[in-house]
Amino acid sequence: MAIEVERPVGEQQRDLSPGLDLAWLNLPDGEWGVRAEPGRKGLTLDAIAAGRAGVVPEASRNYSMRLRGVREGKGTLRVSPYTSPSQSDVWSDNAMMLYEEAVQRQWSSATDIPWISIQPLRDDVEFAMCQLCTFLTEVEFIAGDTPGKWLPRISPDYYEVGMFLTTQIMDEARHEDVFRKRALVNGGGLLQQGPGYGLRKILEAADFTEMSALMHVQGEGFVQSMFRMGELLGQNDAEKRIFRLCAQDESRHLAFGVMHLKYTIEKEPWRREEIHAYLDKSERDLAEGTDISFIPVFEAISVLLGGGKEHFDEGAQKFMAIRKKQVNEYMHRLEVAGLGDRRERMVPELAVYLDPPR
Amino acid sequence: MTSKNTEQFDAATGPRDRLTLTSGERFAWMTNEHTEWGIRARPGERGLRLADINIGSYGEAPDVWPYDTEIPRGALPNDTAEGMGYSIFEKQEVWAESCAELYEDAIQARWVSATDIPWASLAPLPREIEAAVCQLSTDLSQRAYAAGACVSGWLQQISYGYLEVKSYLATQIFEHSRHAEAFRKRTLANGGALGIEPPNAFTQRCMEAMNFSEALLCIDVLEAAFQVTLFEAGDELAHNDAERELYRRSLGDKLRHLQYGRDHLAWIAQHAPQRSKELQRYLAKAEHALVADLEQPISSEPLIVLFGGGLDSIDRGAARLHALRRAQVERYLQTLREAGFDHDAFPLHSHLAAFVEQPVEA
Repeated sequence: MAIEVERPVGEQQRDLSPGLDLAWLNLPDGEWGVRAEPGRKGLTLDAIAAGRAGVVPEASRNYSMRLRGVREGKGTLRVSPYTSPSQSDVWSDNAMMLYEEAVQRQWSSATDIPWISIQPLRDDVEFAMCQLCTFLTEVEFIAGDTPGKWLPRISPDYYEVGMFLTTQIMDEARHEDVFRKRALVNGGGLLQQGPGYGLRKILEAADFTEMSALMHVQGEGFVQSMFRMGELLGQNDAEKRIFRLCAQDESRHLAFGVMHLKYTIEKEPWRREEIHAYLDKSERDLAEGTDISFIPVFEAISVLLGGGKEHFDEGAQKFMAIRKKQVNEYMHRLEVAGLGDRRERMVPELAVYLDPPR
Repeated sequence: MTSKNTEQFDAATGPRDRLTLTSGERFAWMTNEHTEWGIRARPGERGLRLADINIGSYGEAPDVWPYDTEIPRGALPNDTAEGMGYSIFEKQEVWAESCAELYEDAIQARWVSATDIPWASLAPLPREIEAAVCQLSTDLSQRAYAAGACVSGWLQQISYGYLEVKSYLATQIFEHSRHAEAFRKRTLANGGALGIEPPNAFTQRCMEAMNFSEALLCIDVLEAAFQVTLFEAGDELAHNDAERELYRRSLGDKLRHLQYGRDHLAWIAQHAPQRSKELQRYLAKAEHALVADLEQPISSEPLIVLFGGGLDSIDRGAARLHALRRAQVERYLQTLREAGFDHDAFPLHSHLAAFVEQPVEA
């Protein structure tokens, strides 16, 4: 049944339906007829970012949880003190795509890991895997808590970012859970807690870009580089698959962080020095022997890479190769984000691993 | 041990040959003194679930958790670790017996709005029907987004003694997001447009909560009871397979939210009965806020139009909405009863009570 639009629809229908307000029926004509169409990947966020709903404002004073494009209500209450008044504070051009990819690529630690492939290991190797898993469980705890802290502070004008963060919360819960499962499935157990200094830095961050640079680009970047060596660390199909699936998830988090940093630096180039200052601080902590240099973790990884305590030195050399890879990939990501000058500013303890510029 | 070894590694970082000089206390962590060495979790028929690894001391979520660090439950504490700012250290504040199972169930029941909803089944609808679907979907989308933001804000407050709760909440936050985008997609997929935002009285109440149980009673008990009942009516509301599937999938998620809310309330009723009157206050305030939203035309009128099948059958739609509201209130009261929490001890909001007391007119 078509409705005439000579005067507001709500008013017409109020006459026909006494007692009803029907103001909500009075949708602006200009917004009708825009029809999002499913594409090859289904009906994605990208597909519905059309018309008014797709116009992302550079500044936001949206305090009522009104997702972008929704019409303001009369007398609607403000509900949140957002700290992201501008797009460049939080935006990443790949957030929509990463959200959909994350939803598609969820996996189950209960059923997608071939736990049956885990057989008793030598005690030193089992200890080493359990120590590494204890450490990784902690890392994933904080990587899940942090986006939770930020989600309520992001304006729903940039809801795709908020939604991406919820996928990260889900991913990290699964990682925390899968490493805990691995620690408890083969007769070992949870071992030594790490110091957590670097993790705390992530939680302490008072600015979204600072948090993202520390967590997504630096922290998850280092972890990602390690996960990609999972074929060497894993002793069986289950562990190799764990590292592979986690690496796949971390890639999304990392991609968000790199593209957010790039967006911020492009839109607000005056923030470059500020961002360098965040990295100065966190690299210093990294180099001063915090989480990623925690002795039990270093030794555990070396034992795993070497194939046992008696091959510790050989494993330690491989560990240094991983560290070199971590630092160089970190530098590469910063170059992609537009922070190539970091090469000259990186703390010496990390810069020593840098390859010559390409 | 930690500081000393860390210092040794500081010296070793960089030049590779110095790494081998850390032999003083090498492998000091390689001891089963503080572990339950030999204890082994076994996968069951449904894989290796969270409940399966709750073995020995690792499975004991204590009544009070003593650590403000990110220490995993069962690991050996590091006395140099700094606090992480948690504020929830008591089991009764967050616990529900079902959370480990709900976590795994949620993962197994995952769905993808982009590809699991048969969007191709959408076809042009009469304008007032399309507008009603759009307004309802706008409302559901925004409420879901707000609920996710609210719950996620609590995640950082919960200490790691209760990791099963945190894990489950991660799935719930993720699902809130999925509902927000799925209903938004419906709004924009059939030629309609985004509607008017809800008045936010209820969302404000959720955001104002000063403790986790208070927030949870709003989102996972009262609102979840209402939404479960709404989604159960999905076949009546839907005009195509896409909408039917959307309501059906959302119902599955929402039932878990409601179960967690109910089981958390049950845990409090059993283990912290002294909080009973405090919780009554929260529920009364939540009911008041919900009613403030429900009384708004944008909350009720789209449902009247959808239930009635158009503007020509307003009376029929209004009667069906009344029946829905009655069922929603009854579901809410039933949930409280199942949790061992008796609403008879304090008055139900008069607006809600009226739905239960007044007969439904055909």
